[in-house]
Formats: sequence, structure tokens, C-alpha cells
Amino acid sequence: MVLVQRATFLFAAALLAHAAQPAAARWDGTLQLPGRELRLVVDLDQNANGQWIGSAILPNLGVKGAPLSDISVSDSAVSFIVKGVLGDLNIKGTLTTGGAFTGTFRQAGNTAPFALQKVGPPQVELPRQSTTVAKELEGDWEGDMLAIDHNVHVRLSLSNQADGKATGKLFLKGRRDVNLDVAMVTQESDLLTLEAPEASLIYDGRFRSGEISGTWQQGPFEFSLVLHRAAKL
Amino acid sequence: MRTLLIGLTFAALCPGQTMFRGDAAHSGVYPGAGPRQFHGVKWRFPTGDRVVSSPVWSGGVLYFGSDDNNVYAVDAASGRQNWKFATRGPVPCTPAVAGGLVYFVSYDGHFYAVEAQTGHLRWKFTTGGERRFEAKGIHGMLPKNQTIADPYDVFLSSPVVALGAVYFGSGDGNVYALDASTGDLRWKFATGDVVHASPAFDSGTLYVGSWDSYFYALDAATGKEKWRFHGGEDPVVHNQVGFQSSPVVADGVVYTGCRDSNLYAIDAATGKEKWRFPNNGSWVIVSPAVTNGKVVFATSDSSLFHIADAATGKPVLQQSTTAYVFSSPALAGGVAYYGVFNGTLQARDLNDGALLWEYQTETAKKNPNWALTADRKINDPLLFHSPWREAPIAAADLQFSIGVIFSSPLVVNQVVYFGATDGYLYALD
Repeated sequence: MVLVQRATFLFAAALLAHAAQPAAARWDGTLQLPGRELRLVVDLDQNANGQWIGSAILPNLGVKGAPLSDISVSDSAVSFIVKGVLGDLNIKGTLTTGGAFTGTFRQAGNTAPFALQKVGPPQVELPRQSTTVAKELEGDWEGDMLAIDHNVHVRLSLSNQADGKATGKLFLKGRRDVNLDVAMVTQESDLLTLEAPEASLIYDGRFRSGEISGTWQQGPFEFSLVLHRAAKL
Repeated sequence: MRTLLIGLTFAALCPGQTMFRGDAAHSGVYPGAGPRQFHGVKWRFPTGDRVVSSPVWSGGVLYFGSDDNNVYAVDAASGRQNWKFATRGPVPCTPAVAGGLVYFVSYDGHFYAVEAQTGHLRWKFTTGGERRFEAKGIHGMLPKNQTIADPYDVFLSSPVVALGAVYFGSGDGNVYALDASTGDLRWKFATGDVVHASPAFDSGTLYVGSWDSYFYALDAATGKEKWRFHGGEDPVVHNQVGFQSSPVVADGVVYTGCRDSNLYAIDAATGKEKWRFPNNGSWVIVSPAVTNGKVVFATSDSSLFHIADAATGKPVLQQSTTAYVFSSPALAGGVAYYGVFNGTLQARDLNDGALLWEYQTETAKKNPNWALTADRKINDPLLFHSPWREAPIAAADLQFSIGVIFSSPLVVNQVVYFGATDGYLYALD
């Protein structure tokens, strides 16, 4: 009985602690650049371990669910980085008792004010994660694609990690050699998808009859690419 | 008649300042010296829209076009307006002044000759109409099957006057030769796409490139093709194709930039390539300048100021310009003057490439819309956040809002004149 009471107390305390965190909310407002305003929506929350998590939406710039990093909440002082958006958007401000979050943001070395208002509970969008790939997809693959007017030899290495997520590495041999880490590897049924946003690259291919047949999309370019089991290097 | 005589007299006294890049060969070299030190803004003249045009000088008067549809005559000493002439479209070309007439083309599809003294229309000629270079999925814009006008096709062809004729290119794909006195058509030569480069004239031959990927040498008297030179092609995103750069002719060699990222040196007599200076994907939009066996030019994306050996194309020196350069360098007294996309005019010593001084316009200093980073580069992540539909066009407009200097500077009597997309014509001394 004592144990149940203690557990109930701890649970209630945790709830109170969460409720008492004024930063945990959806914040909606504007970044005030000289000459124009950009709308910003930020969701801030704490996960089950008490760590701060968050995501951002910039409706005028096509950004939805961008993850926040380097989140710091200390009393009324809050700061974070919208990673990979506009070349990293640094936000630093103060919460007020009236439900406002104001301060300055920095982008490309320029600094300007922002003003956000608490508009409701947080709706943090968790980042997508790589999945495990089937055993028969693990290992090395290779193929050739005609990129406009020249051949590019593609070599792909896939492996599952201890955390259950697959990782991938690409080596391209064309007019020049390029090594590329695949940021996201997902498999759904027989569809394998590789994403490397830094290179504006998406490859999706179907795994059938021992080969992966699909489309390499990079910016405005689209090329067919069939990958076969690679010969040993 | 009196007007004609005054015009001819001043033209004789002040050669090399009355048409784009100074003269018919587009040398880009101006007589006398320019300021080696920046002293201040002598004056600035406001217009109603971007000034992409470069000013020319004749008899103490500056002539230039504005995207507010007007061509202006402004007193060079005071910066006061003498007259303005209204067309029905933007005028992002550089006028030519000869025989008391000012010649220019407008986006309204007409070529005009107005009196230099009064701004009264003498004659006008109707072309097949202006348009920007356009292509499906240009520069990687999406959707890729949509034909989109190129926002960086910012200039119209600047006329050149020689042999009693006025020559210019047009968005209708033609190169025109008109009688300079009457506006009657002498001949026209059809290329495969937009011609917005300015023809250069030398020894009876006209040299000009087209967006059809060819560079042409035409007989100036007849319009007959002498030779053509093939630049690069880019059938997918149409980014690395076309001659937007205007050529310069010096010592029997034609030098021209190209969007295929090369600066070419071509034998003027035969059309054979003498050498090329590759720039790793970076456009060469500027018209090069040639002096003392050196070629001076600058690039867009790589944002570099280059000096190369005119005979071999070997690099002599390079310096960072911080942002893209479309403004053709003007050389005077051992100094190169050119404008930069970040609203800065730079002056460099031609011996060592050292930056002597730079002037950033007040508009650019305010950095509206954060078109620039804190270190005055183009703020690509903020501006070019999407390749879809009109987003890249809107981004280019935001880029231009800071007062980009497309205009090629004019140097006269220790004063540097140029226009900017903040709508002003500037005079610096």
C-alpha cells in the first residue's frame, strides 16, 4: 500500500513538473526580418526521460516538422536551433508570464527580433528514422546509370545496426569520385528508399529477383538505376 | 544640323564613352584616370525602377535607361535631369550616342532614335518583339516540364554604331542593322534564340553571341555570316548554355564570356578557338576588358575577379569579389571598376588585383529581406528555399531588391558612374 502511495505521489509530481514547464507548448508568431515577416510555429515538449524535444514549421518557406536541436530551457530563458533550415536558424528568447516568447534569432550572421505567442499544447513532430532492411538487402550492391551524357558507376553498402536501424553508404565513380552517407534508409515491403538531403538525392527501388530496380532523383535530374550484388573489391 | 555638329564635335573630343563598353569594339578601357581612392558620393539620381543600363557620356551629359520605361539625359556635373523619354517598356540596355542621336531598345519591342539635345523622337523601328530567354525546367526550376523565363536574363542588347548603321540584337532572335539616320532596315540575321548580348564591331565585321549556343561573325555591310563558333549545350536544365556576355575585339582576337562557364578567345578572322578559360560551372556574363596583353573579367557563382594572359589564357591572378558579378569591368588609369550583386562597387589595382576601395549603396547596407548574409554574400538558404513554381523568380526579385549593380561603370574625369537595381544612378569620385 505504501508502495502504491509512493508511486502515485511520484507520478503526480511528474505531472505537476510537466505542467509547471511554461515552455512546453505550441508557439506561433513571426520572425521580423527587415522588409518582411516570416511566420514561425514551434512545438516544445519534454519526452518521457525529461529531455526537451521540439519541431518547427515555417509555412512561407515550405518547412514542416523540422527538428530542433541544442534546446536549452532554464527558468524563463529558452534557446534552440532549427537545424538544417535556412542554413541553421538560431533562436534565443525569454518567456513572459503573459504567454509570450520573445527574443532574437540569427540566420546567416544577421540578427532580428521574433515574437511568438502560446497558442496551445505542444504537437511535436518526431523525426523520421531509418528502418531495418531485410537480411538479403544487407551488403554491397553496384550498378551503372547514364547521367545525361556520361556513365556513373554506383556502389551501395547497406548494413543493419545494433539499434535496429539500417545505414547506407554510396560511392559514385563518374567524372569525379563522390562518397556519400545515406541519411535515411527505409524498407517497406519490397520498396527500398535511400535519402541524402545534402545532395538532394532520393533513390527508390524495388527488390525483386535478386536486384534492386529503381529511379535515382537528384534535384531536377532523374535516371534509371538497377543495382546488382557487387563483386568483391 | 547644329545639333548634329555639336554631337559630332563632342564625340570627337571624347572618344570611348558614347556606347556600351566605351566604343564599338567594346574595349572597356576609358581614357584618363579614375579615382584610386574613394572620396564620396558626388550625387545620385533617382528613377522609378531598376537601373540595369550602363550610362554613356557625350558632351557632359549622361544617357541611360531605366526599368521605369524611360531613357534619361542627366547633367554629369550636377546630376540634374535634362530630359526623359518615355517608352512603353523597361529599358535595361545601354544607349549609344552618335551623330546627335541617342539609340536604344525597349522591352516594348521598339528600337528608338531620339535627339540627344532635346529627347525628341527622330524615328523608331519595330522588331519582332522582346522576350527573355526561356526553357523548360531552366536552372532546375520545377515543374521541369514548365517553360519558365530566365530571371537572370537581365539585359537587353546595347546598340553599336558604325558605317552609318546601328546594330543590335533582339529577343526575337535577330541581329538587326538599321540606317542610323532614317531607321530603315538594312538587313537582319536570324539566330536560333534570344540575342541580348551587344554586338562588337571591328574592321567591317560584327561579332555577337546568341542564346542558341552559337557565336557569330557577320559582315557588317551585308549581314552575311562569316563564321560561327559553337559554345556548350545544356539540354536538361539549360543553365550552361548561351552567350549573354558581350564580346570585345582586340588585336585580331574576339574575347567573350559564355554561360557554359568558359571565357573564350576566338580568332577574329577564322572563328577558330585560340584558348578557353574554364570556370567550373560558373557563368561568365561580363564583357571582358583587354589592356596591355591582359584580359580582365569576373564570374558569377564562383565570384572571382580574374586577370588572364591575353595571348595564352593562362591565369595571372584572381581575387574574391564576395558575390556574383554581372557588371562588366571598366578599366581606367590602371584600375578596374565593376559592380557586384551585393550592391557594392569595387575598385581593384590591375597590377596586383588589390582592392583599392569599395562602396556599398545605402540600400544594400540596409539589407532588405536579408538578401545578403552578414558577410555580404547572397543569402541562398533563405532566398532559394524552394525550386517550385514562382519561388525562384520571387527569390531573384528579393535578391535584386538590395540594389544589385548590373550596370557596367563609366569612368570620366575621375568620376565613376553606374546604375543599381535600387533605382538610382550613382556618381562617385
